[in-house]
Amino acid sequence: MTIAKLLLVDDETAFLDAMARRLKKRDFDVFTAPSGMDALDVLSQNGEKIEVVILDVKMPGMDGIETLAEIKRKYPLIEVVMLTGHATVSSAIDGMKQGAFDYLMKPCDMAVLVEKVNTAASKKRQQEEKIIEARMKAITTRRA
Amino acid sequence: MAVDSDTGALDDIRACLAESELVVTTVPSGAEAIRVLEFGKVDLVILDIQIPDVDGLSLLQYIREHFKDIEVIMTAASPTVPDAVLAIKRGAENLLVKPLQPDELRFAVNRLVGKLNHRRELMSASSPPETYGLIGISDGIRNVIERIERAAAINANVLIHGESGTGKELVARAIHYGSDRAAARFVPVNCTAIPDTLIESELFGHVKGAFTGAKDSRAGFFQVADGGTIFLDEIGDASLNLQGKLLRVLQNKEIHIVGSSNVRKVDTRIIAATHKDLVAMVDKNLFREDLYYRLDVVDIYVPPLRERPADILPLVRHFMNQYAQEMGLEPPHFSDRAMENLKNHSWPGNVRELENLVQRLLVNADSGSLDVADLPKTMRQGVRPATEGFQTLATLEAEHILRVLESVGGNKTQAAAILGIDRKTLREKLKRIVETHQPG
Repeated sequence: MTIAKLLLVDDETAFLDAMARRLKKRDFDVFTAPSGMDALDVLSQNGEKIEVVILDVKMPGMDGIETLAEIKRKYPLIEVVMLTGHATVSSAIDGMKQGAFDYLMKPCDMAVLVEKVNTAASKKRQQEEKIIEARMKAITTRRA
Repeated sequence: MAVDSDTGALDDIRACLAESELVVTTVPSGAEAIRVLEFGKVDLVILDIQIPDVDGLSLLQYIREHFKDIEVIMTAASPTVPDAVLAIKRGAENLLVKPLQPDELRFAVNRLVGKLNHRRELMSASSPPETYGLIGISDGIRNVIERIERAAAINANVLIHGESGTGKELVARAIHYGSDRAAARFVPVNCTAIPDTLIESELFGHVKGAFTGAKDSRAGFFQVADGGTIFLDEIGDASLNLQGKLLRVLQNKEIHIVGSSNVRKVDTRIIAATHKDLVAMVDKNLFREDLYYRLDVVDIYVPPLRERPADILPLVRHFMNQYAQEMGLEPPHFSDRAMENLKNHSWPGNVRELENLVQRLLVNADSGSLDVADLPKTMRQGVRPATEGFQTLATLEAEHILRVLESVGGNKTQAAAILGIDRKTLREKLKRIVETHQPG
């Protein structure tokens, strides 16, 4: 399995720390942020590195959907998995339409989470590979 | 079309959309839905998640895979979050919770109708004039089309010249398929790609056992193209040896099959193309004068893109529509400034460069619109920032690699040879250059 670089965003710091520990044990690189604003800060400093964001839907201040929209606007290639204790159908639809990779319900099974994160990360890598290929093609043929 | 097992719900949908100009078909099952989809002209499906014979989400996937232009709104009485997530993932526009609110449904439907109309407008209104696959409205391209028609009507050899990427092969094909040879084969041959030792066997074919390794008889290009047209691309790069062989066929209209004592008559029209100045090559004794005059009976010049700027935007629109459709995307909108920059670019790689750029812009497009910032650096206006002080080794290396690549026409093998590195290393370096210089 590939190891991915994650950003965990949740306002419940106890949950955040526990998750981070469990994911680190599985050899993921984990960044954490307690709010949407903090998440954007972390991304602006480490945007190149982070591949997948796991984002709580319900947070005070900037909520999950707003944060998702902002992340997708600034870093369209980063994949976002929404994580939520009490999802409503309409919030799930909103999130998916804003470009979330998937929705997971709390409490979530670690194995499921790990699998989702890995698929999301490999999707991001494929996407980037495609773009690099296209750019290389453009450079080499432009010069032909 | 509305699909629901509950006739009450179907009646509601019908009533709700009665005032719109939509033709509404209602079906109670998935099987019937598929039948209607296959025979009818459906633009929009309102699909319940619970239908008797198939699962609504599977039908959604089926629709997405088989009819990619159809938009879908899902409905459900008590959807779960995973259902909703899956519906959107599989490409439904929305999922509405039953009982349906008329306003909500009408709003969702109207949005989609707007989207469909917009897509159709883009497809029809912006399809630029196309003749023989040649796109454009400029006098330059009209002149080419006129000459193609004249050449197609007669049986003389043709010499097409123009820069790389201008579409010389398209012109050759247009002449062949417009002529009375259209039923026979059009055989494109790249003169640079034939190794000198194989010229005769490639062109004229060989019989079994003609030379070591000739296990079977094989037809040459001239036999395959008998009655049809042979297209000799990059004739300016043909070796003197190859030129001599070609001249003999042109003079005698017959070929010697390698390993056979028979002479065979062939009737093949020759269309040759080059980006080189053959007259100058004749002067320098690099190209046989007698061959030149035999080829240059009808002469067609395909102008480079910078000589026909009027065609740039129609071409951009053409490729944008074509590739957007292939990739299942909405063609993005160009800002006026971006269009202006495209018009002012010199397009050294001509139509091929433009086609590549469009493809690449589509892959990279994050939103529905493209602005100057999305274009490659070389296409943005303004002066290049003067380099201050010394450059890093990496920058210097990148520039050098790109310059070498340019000088060999993008051929990575040749570039690697000049740079003294292997092809794989060059590829790695290029990859890094592209990564650090993004975007564009």
